[in-house]
Order: sequence, then structure tokens, then C-alpha cells
Amino acid sequence: GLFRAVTEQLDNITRAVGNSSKSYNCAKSLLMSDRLQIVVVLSEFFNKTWEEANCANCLKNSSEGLSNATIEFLDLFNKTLMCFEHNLQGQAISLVASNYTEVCRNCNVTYKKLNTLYTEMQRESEHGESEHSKHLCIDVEDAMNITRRLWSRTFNCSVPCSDTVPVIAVSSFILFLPVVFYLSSFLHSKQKKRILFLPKRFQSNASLVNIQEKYS
Amino acid sequence: MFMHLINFPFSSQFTHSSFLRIGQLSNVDLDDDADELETEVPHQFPNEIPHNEKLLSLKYESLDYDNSENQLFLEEERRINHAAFQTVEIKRWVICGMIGILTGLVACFIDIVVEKLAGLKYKVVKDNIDKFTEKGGLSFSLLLWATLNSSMVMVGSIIVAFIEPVAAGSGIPQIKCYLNGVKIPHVVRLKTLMVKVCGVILSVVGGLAVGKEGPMIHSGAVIAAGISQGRSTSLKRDFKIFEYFRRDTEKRDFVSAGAAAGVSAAFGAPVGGVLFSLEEGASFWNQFLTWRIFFASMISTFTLNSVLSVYHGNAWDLSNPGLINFGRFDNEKMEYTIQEIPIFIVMGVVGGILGAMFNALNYWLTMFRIRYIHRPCLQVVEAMLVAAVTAAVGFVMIYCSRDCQPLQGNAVAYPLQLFCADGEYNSMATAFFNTPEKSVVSLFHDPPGTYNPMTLGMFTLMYFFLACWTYGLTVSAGVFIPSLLIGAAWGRLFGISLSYLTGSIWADPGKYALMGAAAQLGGIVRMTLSLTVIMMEATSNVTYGFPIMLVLMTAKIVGDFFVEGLYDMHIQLQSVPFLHWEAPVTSHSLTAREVMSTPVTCLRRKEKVGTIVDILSDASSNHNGFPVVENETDTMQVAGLRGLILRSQLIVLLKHKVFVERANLSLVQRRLKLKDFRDAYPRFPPIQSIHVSQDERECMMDLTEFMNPSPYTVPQEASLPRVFKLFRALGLRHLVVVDNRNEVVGMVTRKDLARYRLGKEGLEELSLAQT
Repeated sequence: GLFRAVTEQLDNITRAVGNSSKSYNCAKSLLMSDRLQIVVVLSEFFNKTWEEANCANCLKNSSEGLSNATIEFLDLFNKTLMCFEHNLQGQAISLVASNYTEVCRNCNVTYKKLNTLYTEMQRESEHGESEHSKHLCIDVEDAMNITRRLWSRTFNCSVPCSDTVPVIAVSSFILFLPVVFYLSSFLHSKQKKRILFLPKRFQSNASLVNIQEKYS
Repeated sequence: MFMHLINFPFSSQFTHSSFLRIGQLSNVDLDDDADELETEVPHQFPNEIPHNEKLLSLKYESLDYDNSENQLFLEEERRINHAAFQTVEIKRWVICGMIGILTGLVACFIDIVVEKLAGLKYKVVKDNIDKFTEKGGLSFSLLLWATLNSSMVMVGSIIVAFIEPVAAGSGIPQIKCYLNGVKIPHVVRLKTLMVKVCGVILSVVGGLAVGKEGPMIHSGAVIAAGISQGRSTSLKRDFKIFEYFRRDTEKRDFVSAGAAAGVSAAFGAPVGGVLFSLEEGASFWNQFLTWRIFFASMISTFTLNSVLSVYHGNAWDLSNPGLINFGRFDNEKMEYTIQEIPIFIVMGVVGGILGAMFNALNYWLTMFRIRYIHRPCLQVVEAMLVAAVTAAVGFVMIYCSRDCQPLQGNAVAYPLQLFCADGEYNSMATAFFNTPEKSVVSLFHDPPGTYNPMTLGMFTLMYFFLACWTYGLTVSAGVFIPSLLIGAAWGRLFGISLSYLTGSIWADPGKYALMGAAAQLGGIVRMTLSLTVIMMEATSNVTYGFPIMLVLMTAKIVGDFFVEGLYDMHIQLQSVPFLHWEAPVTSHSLTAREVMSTPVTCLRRKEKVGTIVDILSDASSNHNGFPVVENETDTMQVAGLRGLILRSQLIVLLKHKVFVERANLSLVQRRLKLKDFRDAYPRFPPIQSIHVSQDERECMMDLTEFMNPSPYTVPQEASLPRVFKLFRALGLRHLVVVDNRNEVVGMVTRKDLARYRLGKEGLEELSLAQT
């Protein structure tokens, strides 16, 4: 709301360049009065931040209120945070890793739903044309980052490294195959021999040249 | 004495130099007269030896660059007027343009297909890994990845091993040999092009540690050789254009244009392409050729650029000048100061040493492969195993790496999360789970702190051994990109450790990655001028030219101290009679007499058909050029050299039955023209397919019109460097050695000259062998 009001005012000023030179002077005195040109700088800053944060992504097309996807997301986000609080009642969230298995177990479904929704939103926004529209709006992204950090770092609920033994077994087998192959070809294949060809040449007895013939 | 020379009354004049056999095939009796000048062939000479690099193969012949200026050629030249010569010149330009366009299109095709197929493969594996990360059973993902790799490489290797073995490797050694003047069988055929293009696509998509840039050079050369002839012998279609260019001389010029266009399409470096052709084929260079080759290179990169821009959806963006795009190296962010030059030189030394290690390891591996793995099925199995092991190594590295980084925008196309926190991705996967070109670009341009030194170090080590193992397999694949990747990885490591040591962040690791890549590539392939310009153009920054040149020179000097460049090593291992730029320096005391092959099979000017057929059918020696000597009309005249005639010309004459008796009887409808020789080029029929009846064997053939009346000759006492220079600069195939009475004493061919080499302990002589 605020941002829109600011942009509107600036547009009023810049657009008020009619045929009369008085309105032009008014715009000039406001916008270019000193070296710093603070009004222009600030307006550029606001515009740039709005673009980079991709705020337009969260809002509906007519810029009147949040879009459906954003509302759904924020809803799920609130649910996830409530789930965390609910499962942590009594326990203080400390930075030292402690036993958060309850949180991981109970809030898993909600968190996964949130994650899936977020990935879907990301995939949809990837079809945008400009660089910035490839990202979601910054509020959504920040919310997701907070949740993820809580989930993975503080609660330590990410997937543990599993499956070590089968992986090692399969990879050792694959790495062992070439050794077998080379050994068997060394032992069984007939070594490729070359038949020498002795051309007829005019050979001189006195070797004036230091030629060394090597036969391996 | 010499029993078979009893017909010649002047035989007493011949003493030790009478190794002249005219029309006779019996073995020369060597024991009598030439005692003081001949040594006995040592009996303990081993006849069969295992393969080594000190051999020359008999199967490689020279190309026929020297134009046979016989009477037919002179007549044709008299007929052609000035306007026709202009037309020929315009046709040359048109052909060069077409070479550029087609090479660009082939490069586009390879790039697009690789991108699509590789994307598909990575998506399948990534989905599988993501699915199995939680549920467990990641070993299935490993098996899936290994199987996908193996199957694609199996197909790629089968087509190379069974259909066209000459398409194996990167193709640069074969083109180097072709421009040097060696006729490598099948190297510029259409079938080779097909196999090469499909092979390189399958190798790259199959995840091998290879690049697709080297094979572009070979492809460009084949396209050039094909277009310039105006017909396809494989498809049996003759378009009846460009008939003037159906000669080895013209074909060679176009092949150098094709190679340049290939380099230009591969790296986006047109001037680098021209210099590459110049470096390889400098002996026959002329200024017009430079201009035409530059034209072909420019057209090639422009075609590639526009087609790829249209494909990516932003037409006329023109930001993909080559298959590999090193990205923009801005001066502000990545400048270097004069204090960094010594550091770059140190990196050059490291690159030289590592390159020498790479080459030495590859040498032993290739020797093992030639000796023991020579059956095609074994070669295919080996390629499959390498592909599987590459996948396994990559997977294990990714699995064991605990390095997680948050994703930076769309930097990685297929990020693998594996066991990282949500929102973060495994950074070893960005190195291994990507096509090598993208990894190189990200190593150059990612901001400092993106890579963990431990990850980079492990990656460099593993990739070095994988790349060394992979080069030399029976697949179409290049070695440029793997070397760049290895060098970029340790260069970046160098930069990171440098900024760690000095405590500040002033050393941008991307710059060191570039220098490391140049050092490693220079240490492996040892190309100097062309590589400097290629890297300068690929980074589109001329200021980097100076440090890159220093780095490459240092790497070459250090590397040459230990072992040769990779391509030269493989040329030697294939026993190709390659002639270097100059004769070995200590060889002035060798004369033409010691170098030449003798005795020489000569023909008389009017020779019996039966004699000619017998000489050509002789299986014990495969001569291709025969000096033509004068018929003995009276006893006082010496049989001086009158000309030189080639086997191919004799075969055409026999096929058209150009006999003296038939001309007399006006049985011949028309006279033979130069067009008949050009039509038979390049696949002349073997002598076994020419049938000559018993009566025809008694006819005479007059060689005067068809022989080259002015062959290049050299006196017996000429030194080896002199003979070498004449042979190499003119691109000869046969050089006749005459004595002071213009009699043929011997013949110098490529194999006679190429056997002298400067080895580690001095001048050494290579033996010839049947391979």
C-alpha cells in the first residue's frame, strides 16, 4: 500500500510536465535541486528493491491483496510453526542439539506439505521471462528459509546417511572388475608381435655416423 | 657376376653402384663385388618383436602432392583460358564457405543432441537418487547410473571398434599426420564422419571423462575433403562439379581449411583455428590459403553462433561462438598485476610436470592396450568398464562428501541434495554430476568461497586418473576439456591456498583456475602458438594473452624435458612415418646413398605390358613410383632417367588398355584425357582386378605421354638434411637419387627419411615392421 502511494506521488510530479513551463520548473526544482538528487536516488532505490524482492509475485495481478498461492503458503507456514510450538511445549529451544524426535515425528507431514508447495511455486515461477521473476517474493522465501533452518539445523530432522554397506559393496565390485579384466587379458591374450621388414639398402661398413639401433 | 645383367653390354662399367635392375625381379646377388662396402646382415636379427615405439609401419604411404606435369596436364593448361582460372579461384572460395557452414551445422547438431540426451540421463538418475535417499537403497541408484553409462558407451564403442577403427580417439593425431603428408587409410571418409559424430555424442552422454571439441577438428577435415571433391564415393553419386580439385594437392589445402573450421567451431576461436592449421601444415603454406582458411573459420563460428542463438530462443544474441564458452573475463574483477607473473610461471612448471606424468602413464597404458587388448570385443568391454567405474567413482565421491552449499540461483542444472539440509545441495555433485564444460565454466567464474578445498583436491586427483585411463580407449573422444578441467581444479585450489596464505582475499581463484587450465593443457598437448590464441579468443580477453603465453611456454619447456606431447606420443606408438619440421641435427654426415632404398625397380619408356603387370602384381614389395629410363637404342647410350610414373597412373592405363599396337590399329576410340585419371581418384582399383589376356601381355605400352618428365632428383652425395628439406618442403612422395650420369641409383621415400630420429642418446634409426 505504502509503496504504491509513493510511486503514485512521484509519477504525479514527473508527469506534470505540461505545455506550461511553470509545471516543468516545479518538477525540476523538486527532483534536481542539489547534487545528491535525493528524491531520485530514493525512488530508484525503492523501485529496485521492489523489483529484486519480486514483491509483485506475492500479490494478485491487479495489485489488490495477496494472491491465492501466497495465502495458502502463509497458512501452511503458520500451521507448521504452531505444530513446532505444540510439540515443544515445556522444552526450551536451545542451540545445543538435544532430543527433538517428537517434533520430527509429529510435524513431518506438515513440513513435507509446506516443502512440496514451495517447490511447486518455484517451478511455476521458473516460467517467467525476466531474471527476477525466477524467484518467489522475498517474504515467502524468508519464511521458507527460517522453517528449513529450524527443521534441519536446530531440530536436526534431516535424513541420516544410510545405506553405507550396500553402496560400498556395489562400488567395490564395480571397481574390482577392471582389475580382473586387465589381468585376464594379460595372461590369456596373445601378445601382438610385429614382423620386421628388412629393406634392401646400401650399407656402409665404416660407420661415420653415431647410429644406435635398438631392439627391444 | 651379376647373371641377370648379362644382356647389358656395358655391365662392366657398373661396379658397386650397379644395383640397377631393369624389368627383372630376381634377387640381387650381393656377395661378389661389393665386399668392401657391404656388411652382412646379422643373423641374430630378431624377426618378430613385441610392439614398441621404435618402429615404422609399412602400411602408411605418402600423399601425392607433387603434380605430375605430363603432356596431358600441359594440354589441359593450354586449353584453359584466363576466365576459366578465375572460375576455379571463385570455386575455391565457394567451397571454403560451404566447409565453414557445414562444419558449424555439424557442431550445432552435436551440441544440441548432447545437451538433450545428457539432460535426460541426469534427470533420470537424479530422480532415482532423490527417491532412494529417504527410503534407502541408494545402491540401486549407483547401479542405474553405472548401467546407463555402460550401455551408452557400449554402443559408442561398438560402432568405432567394428565399423571404423580410425575414428577412435580425438582425431587430432590423424589430421596432423594427414597434413604432414601421410595417407592414413579411411581417415577422411564419410563413414568415418558418421561414426565419429555418433561416437562422440555417445561418449559424452555416457559420462566418460572426455570432451567433444577434439573430434570437431577431424569432422571438419572430413567435411572439407568430401565437399571439395564434388562427389561421394561411398554413396556412389557424382555431382560433376569441382572436378579440377580431384587431386591430393587440392584436397590437402581444403582439409587444412576444414581443420581450422573445426577448431573455430569447437572453441569459438577463428584465428586460433587458422594458426592450428598453420602450425601443422606449415611446409606448404601460401598466402592465399591463409585468407581462404580464415574465411572458412569465420563462417564456421558465425554459423554455429546464429543457429545456437535461434535454438536457445534469443535469435541474434550471438553469445555462443563455440561449443565451449569460457564466459566473460572482465578486466575489473579479474585483473592481474606484475607480481603475479612469477606465480603464473610456477603454475606453468607444475602444469608441465603434471602433464608429463599424464603422458607417461598414458604411454604405458597405450602400450599395454596395443600389445594385449587388440581384439575389438575386448576393446568394447574395456570401454564399458571404464564408463561403469567413472560412474562408481563419481557416486562414491558424492556419497562421502559432507560439503553442503546453498544453491546460488540457477548455477547448477541438476542439484543433488542427498544428505544435505533442505535448501542446500551437495557441492561434490556440482563437479561430478555435470558435463565437463559446465564444470570448467563454473570453476572459472564462481565467486570465492564456493568450493571447499578438500572437495576440489579429491576431485582433481580422481579426475586426473580417470582422464588418463580414458584417453586411448576405442571411443571417439577428445582430451582438451578433461585437461582444462583438471587444470582449472588445481588452479583454483592454488588460488584458494594463496589467498589463505596471504590472509587476504585479493587472489581471485577464478583467474588462477584459468592459468591452471592453460598450464595443464599445455603440459599435455604441448601446442604453443595456436593454443595461446585459442585460449585468448575463448576468454575474449587480449590482456590475458601474455600470462597465458608465458604459462604455456613454461609448461612446454618443462614437459618436453621428460616426455613428448600426447599427440606426438600416440603418433609414434602407431608407427606412423611422421616427418618433423627439420632433419635431426646431427645427421649431416649421412648422405643420400645411405638413406635411399636400392635397388630400384625401373621401367623403360616403351615397356611390355606383361612386365608391367608382373611388377605391379609383385606381392613382396609394394612400390608406388617407378622411374622411367631410356630404352637402350645403342650400346653407347646410358639408361638415363627420363621421368617418373606412378602405380595409380599405370593402373588407369592398363584399365583403358592404352597399348601402342591398339593405337596403331586405331582401335582406341579416343585419347586418354586427364579427366580419366581424376575420375579414378582416390580409390584406384587394385592390380588384381585388372584382367590382361595372354596376347595383351605381349603388347607394348608407351609411357612418354603419361609420365612426369621432370621428377625431382638428388645426387648421391647430398646430405640427409638437404634431402629432407627438399622432400618435406615440396611434399614429395618419391625422390630419385641419381649419379653423375643421370642414372637411377636409388629412391628415397618417406619411410627412408622418417627412420632417423633424434633420441635420448643421439641419432637413432627405427626399424620397419608389418602392422
